[in-house]
Amino acid sequence: MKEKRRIISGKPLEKQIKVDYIARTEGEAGIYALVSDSEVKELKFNIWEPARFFEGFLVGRMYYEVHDLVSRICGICPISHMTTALRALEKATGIAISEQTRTLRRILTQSQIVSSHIIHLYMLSAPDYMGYDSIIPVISEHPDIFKRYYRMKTAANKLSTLIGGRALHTMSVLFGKFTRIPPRKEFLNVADELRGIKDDALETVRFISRLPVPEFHSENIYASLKGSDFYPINEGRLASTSGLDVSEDEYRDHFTEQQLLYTNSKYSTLDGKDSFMVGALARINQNFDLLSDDARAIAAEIGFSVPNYNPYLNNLAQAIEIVNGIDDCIGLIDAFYPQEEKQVFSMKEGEGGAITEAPRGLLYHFYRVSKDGVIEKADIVTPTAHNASNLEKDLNLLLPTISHLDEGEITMRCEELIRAYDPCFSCSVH
Amino acid sequence: MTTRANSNRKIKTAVFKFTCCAGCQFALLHFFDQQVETLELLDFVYFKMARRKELDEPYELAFIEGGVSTPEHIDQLKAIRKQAKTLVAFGACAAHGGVPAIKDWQTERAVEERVYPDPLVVSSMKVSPVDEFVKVDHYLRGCPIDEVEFMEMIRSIAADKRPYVREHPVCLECKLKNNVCILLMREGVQESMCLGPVTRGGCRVVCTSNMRACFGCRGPMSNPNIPEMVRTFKGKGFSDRDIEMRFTEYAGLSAEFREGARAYYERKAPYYKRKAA
Repeated sequence: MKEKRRIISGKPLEKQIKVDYIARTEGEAGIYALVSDSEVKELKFNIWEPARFFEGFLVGRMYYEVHDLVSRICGICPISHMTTALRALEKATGIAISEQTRTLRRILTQSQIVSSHIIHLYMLSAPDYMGYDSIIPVISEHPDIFKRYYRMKTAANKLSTLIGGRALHTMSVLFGKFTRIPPRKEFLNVADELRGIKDDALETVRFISRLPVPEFHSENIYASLKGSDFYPINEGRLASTSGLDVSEDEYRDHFTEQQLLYTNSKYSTLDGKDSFMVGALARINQNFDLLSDDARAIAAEIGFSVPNYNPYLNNLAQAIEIVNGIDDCIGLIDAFYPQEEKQVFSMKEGEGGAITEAPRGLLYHFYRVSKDGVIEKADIVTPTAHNASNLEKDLNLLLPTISHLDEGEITMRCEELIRAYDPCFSCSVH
Repeated sequence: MTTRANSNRKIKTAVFKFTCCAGCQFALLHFFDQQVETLELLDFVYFKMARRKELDEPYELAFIEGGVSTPEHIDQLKAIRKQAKTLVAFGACAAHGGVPAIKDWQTERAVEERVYPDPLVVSSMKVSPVDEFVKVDHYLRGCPIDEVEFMEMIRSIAADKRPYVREHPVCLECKLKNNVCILLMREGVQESMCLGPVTRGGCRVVCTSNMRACFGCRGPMSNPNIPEMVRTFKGKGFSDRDIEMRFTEYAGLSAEFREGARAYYERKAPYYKRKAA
């Protein structure tokens, strides 16, 4: 939606960028900007997603239902919310889960990261660069691209379904355990399917690298988990490119949130002043050496090197993570021999927080549980709430460099940048 | 007479999102590739999650995803009702309020103050299902919606036919599938507190087939026996609090589940006393 401003004599030409509802993202947000020649007069990144008050109504609920409820924060990354909440709650109540449960959760989360990235790249982001307004025309005009997308997503969803019961809002995950463990044969079948889409994943990286991406340099701080042996997904140390390296329990000492007047999402800052970026690019920038061999090889082939400071290339980082995720899942499945296990818990009261890597970046959950198992306090910070402030900063940097274009073009470039961040506005206002 | 069934015209469809996780819209995107033939019956004139296009043409079928939680939603909803020939409540939040409606069971202000330092800035009210404000023609229940039921509904609407409404409980489908009864055979709150006997079927028993107790995301079946359900739960040793939690998770605003949750709030309800006497 744009509106031409008349030139009033004596005043410089101002351009107004106004998008009420950004399309092809998850949730509801808009931007409003007023740009003159090389100056941003006004910029508002307004996340108007209606608030749902999860942190509020979780107080008073029972410990065993929290992971189910929080998975309804997001329709794209429910598994991440689920595993993070479970790890926080298990930490709070002093419960140790088995190695098998930990491995299964890792495979489950990886499968969700892969499918979330696939959907973001093909359905939400790529149509911008291919000149379509949605994926629907791609079905008939580029059937090969659509079929590749379909094969990959089906295989990734099969893995989520095998462990979680279904791909969206999985239900076989319980506090401390799984409802059932599928037999090894079924895992091996899915592993074969994953091997089958490996070439598609490599082709995806090449496809994304060929899309025309604007040159844009933004000196961001990147924050993510940092692994020591494995690519960090469900656990790791909290690190940033500005030199932060702490355990997850110190999260609240460094990251603070504040409420703004024009947006429903809270804005996060690192050490009280800096905005920072989380997500695939942040993970790869900090953990490049931990990627699988094939992922590093394809990165070298297309000339992707770290550290990388172009937020548009978050898409490319996601594509590389798809390759890494598939390799990781195949490796874990090959070494996985399911066993029936019986677990008896004795709970205690306490509090605990956990940080994991959701598809869109750092996800923090914290709970305090009473001795009856009732939640007394909940604190959730989602990837897009982490990114919101930085996204606004990047828009501020981008707008002066493209202010000579016409308004439609500027709007498009802003939307592309926002979509490259892969924001999930439903998550950010939870 | 020309009906939709014998014209080749596609049904102009708009998808709106209110207060929810967008998971049902997302499920719709999932269906795109598996159900191309059925979805070709629809022409999405407004579907923000999939298409960069403003709402600038009339539509006849509207999917409403999510509950109503701000005053602006009500105005928007009434405008949609005026325009749409068929209005479908899309998913558990639109049909029953869903998970966000849990906050209705607590004091509004207390809940809001836990989240925002200044709650007055955030426009919000109690969460309600869509049919609290406008007439709903069809319901697609579940969190998230079921694919088969969705496709069935699209084809019914395209053929000008009333979609199949399921009145039976989840239990019926579970028995047809020869599943072991979770409620009777398993122990523990997490593992066996199954709402299947009072919850509306149509989900192809995806949860109970995976050994997960039904949490009632599809809302009450027609004419459920809630007092007996509560007595069964009590007989298995679940506390009043557990019972209240289970009934208020996904469809706590429905009259039937509200009655079940009352076991905790108003212990004087006569039928809970019957067994003790």
